[in-house]
Amino acid sequence: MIEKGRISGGQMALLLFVSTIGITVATIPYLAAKWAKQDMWMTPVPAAASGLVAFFLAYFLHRRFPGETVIQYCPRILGWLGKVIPLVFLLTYIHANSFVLRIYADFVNGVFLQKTPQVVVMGGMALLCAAAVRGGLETVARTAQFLALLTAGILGVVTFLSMPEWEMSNMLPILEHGFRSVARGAAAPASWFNDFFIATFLLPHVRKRDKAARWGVVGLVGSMLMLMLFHLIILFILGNQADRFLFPLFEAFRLINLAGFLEHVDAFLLAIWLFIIFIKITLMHYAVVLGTAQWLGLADYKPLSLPIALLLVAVGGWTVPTLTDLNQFFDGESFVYSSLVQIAIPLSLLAVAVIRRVKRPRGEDGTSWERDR
Amino acid sequence: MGAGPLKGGGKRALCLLWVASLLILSGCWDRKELNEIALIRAIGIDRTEDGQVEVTLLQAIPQRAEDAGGGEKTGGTQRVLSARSINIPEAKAKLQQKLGREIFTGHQEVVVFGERMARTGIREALDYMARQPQVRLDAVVFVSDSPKEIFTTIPLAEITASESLYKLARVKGYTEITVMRVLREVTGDAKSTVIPVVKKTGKKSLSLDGVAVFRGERMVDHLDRKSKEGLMWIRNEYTTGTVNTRIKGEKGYVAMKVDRTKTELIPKMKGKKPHMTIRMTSENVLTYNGTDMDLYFPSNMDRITREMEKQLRHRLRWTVERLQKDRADAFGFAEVFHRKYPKEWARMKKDWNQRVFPRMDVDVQVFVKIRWPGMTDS
Repeated sequence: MIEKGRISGGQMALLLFVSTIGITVATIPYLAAKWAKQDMWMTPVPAAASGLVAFFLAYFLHRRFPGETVIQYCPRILGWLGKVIPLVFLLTYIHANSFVLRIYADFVNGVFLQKTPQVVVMGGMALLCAAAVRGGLETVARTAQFLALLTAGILGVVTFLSMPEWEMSNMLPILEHGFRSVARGAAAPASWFNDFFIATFLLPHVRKRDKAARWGVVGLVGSMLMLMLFHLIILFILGNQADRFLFPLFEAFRLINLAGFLEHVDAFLLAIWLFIIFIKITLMHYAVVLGTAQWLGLADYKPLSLPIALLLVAVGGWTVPTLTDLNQFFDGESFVYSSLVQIAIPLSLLAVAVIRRVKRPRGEDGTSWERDR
Repeated sequence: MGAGPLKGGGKRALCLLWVASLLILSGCWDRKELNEIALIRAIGIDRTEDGQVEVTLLQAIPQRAEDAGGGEKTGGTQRVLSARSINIPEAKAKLQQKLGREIFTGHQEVVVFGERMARTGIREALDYMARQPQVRLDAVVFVSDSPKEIFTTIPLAEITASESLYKLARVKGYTEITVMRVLREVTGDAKSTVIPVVKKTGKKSLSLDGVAVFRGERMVDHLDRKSKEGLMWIRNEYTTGTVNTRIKGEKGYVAMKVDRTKTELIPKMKGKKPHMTIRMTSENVLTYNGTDMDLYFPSNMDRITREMEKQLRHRLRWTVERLQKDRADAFGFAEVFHRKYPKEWARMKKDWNQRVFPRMDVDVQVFVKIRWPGMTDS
């Protein structure tokens, strides 16, 4: 195995959790509010269902091919065609990651640093993520743990401070526009929940494999609840204005004013969001870097980190012309896109593997299902 | 970086990276130095007679230096500038040219709409503020005849006009209305809102003067203090107020201070007709007794209570009728109906302000409790 590091199930859950919730600060709640209105807080539920499917596809495939990522078992299942499919995953993840990088840069450029060239904002982040991936999976996981503590602390305080602004009645009437609009509003968050399939790159390195599924579900349910909480905060504070702002959570927290002396806490939000988005980009970058190394049969993945980060910045630059196009894309199209790659392809892989009865031969490569328990 | 100890080549590469990073670190595009920005504390937006937009900015001068530049001088602590143009950004661009320093709106805490602007529609101004992340949405909002006049009036004991306005907005009982709130209410179910009115009352004083009622983006009425209080009570927003009354068969007035109110809005559908009950309970303190009644006797307290209830009921009734005449549901009845009767709401919402709200039957119930008689007058 190229990756020497091992992470615990909890660390895997945390990585998936943090990288999923990070996107809430961005435009997702706005899209959810656009369709589901005051029921926007329910949208994480169908979205998480989609994520659950993606995660369990990764898990079942992992059960069949312990110690291997999707890049490695693809050829086992499909033969020569299986050498091509991994490229789809790799390109998709670079593309998806470039979206994240771009959203981050658009947010920073639009709200905080208007004059700073976008390439500097993206470049700085990409460089950092590249360095983190060079450190290996354990480094990434430990960083996530450390930052998560800090983030949870600040977020807790900010949420608490926002409570006087809450108007709970903004939730009513519940389900006025029916489940359909909730499901439609869930398309945007669902495309991010589908990224739970990225667990395929983490599962082989999890220490106690029998607990991995449980931890994955913990991460998933945690993300769902956290997203619901954020959506509720947005709804309570902004009410019917939630679908008018591009970055609703940010606007909501900006309105915090505690007794006239504690204001402008939005700067904290940028700080923590920076942490969260860093984890998200790093995780996806790790998947791409490791996957590429495995696909090409290299002995080490670390030298690939910087070059691919450079590619990421370039792709981030041309991926969409403007924020409007980006929102348009996430309002539906992206769900189809991510479901095709992260649900449809893995599902067919699993189906073919079951039909052809392909399994990973025991004992090969020295890692077996039992040994790492 | 975990890639093992660095060898000669790696070290050199790292050095190169450090040197290269100087290239990007040297630029700090978004630095904001206090002496390079014009700190804007308040913005006034008005429409001129020929339909142009007039933007007035109030710049605070923190170091209180005597100001040498152009613009109207109003003292050493603030400067007021205004410009006219076809829209707000255009007018601001003109002001930017005059200013020489970069306009910085991160601490803009007061927004004043000119009355002409308010009457012709504030949509443009709201759009401008909501669209720009640099503009704070928790700024307090006012309406006034002339924002420029307000800004150039620095009340005694205050440093800038904006500071005094900000304090005015927070006078107890005068609900502060922020930009966010206006945005929410103007586009909300009721499509109506209220904004406090401020006026110049002397060379060095500003004062509040009731509220402006908005239907949609347009100001349609101006309520005085008394009906404003009624409105705020119905909206269930903390407000104090003083109620005076005469008692039948007695000479002189009795006055009480409304201390705490709680209002319930109870919607009901009677067939197809919406019906609203306003139930207000208030706790009060008796502040003045100009009559000869001895308040030792509960029966006298009772008489006062009944009389006060009548007064309050009249006041609320009057406010309701006035707003119904304005066809502006600034009470937020629409939301209450939307929440309780979503299906019926879908039918009513189209002409809520035009037909449904003005024709609605409204019941007013007031329960007064005088918590503290002051003394017994024995």
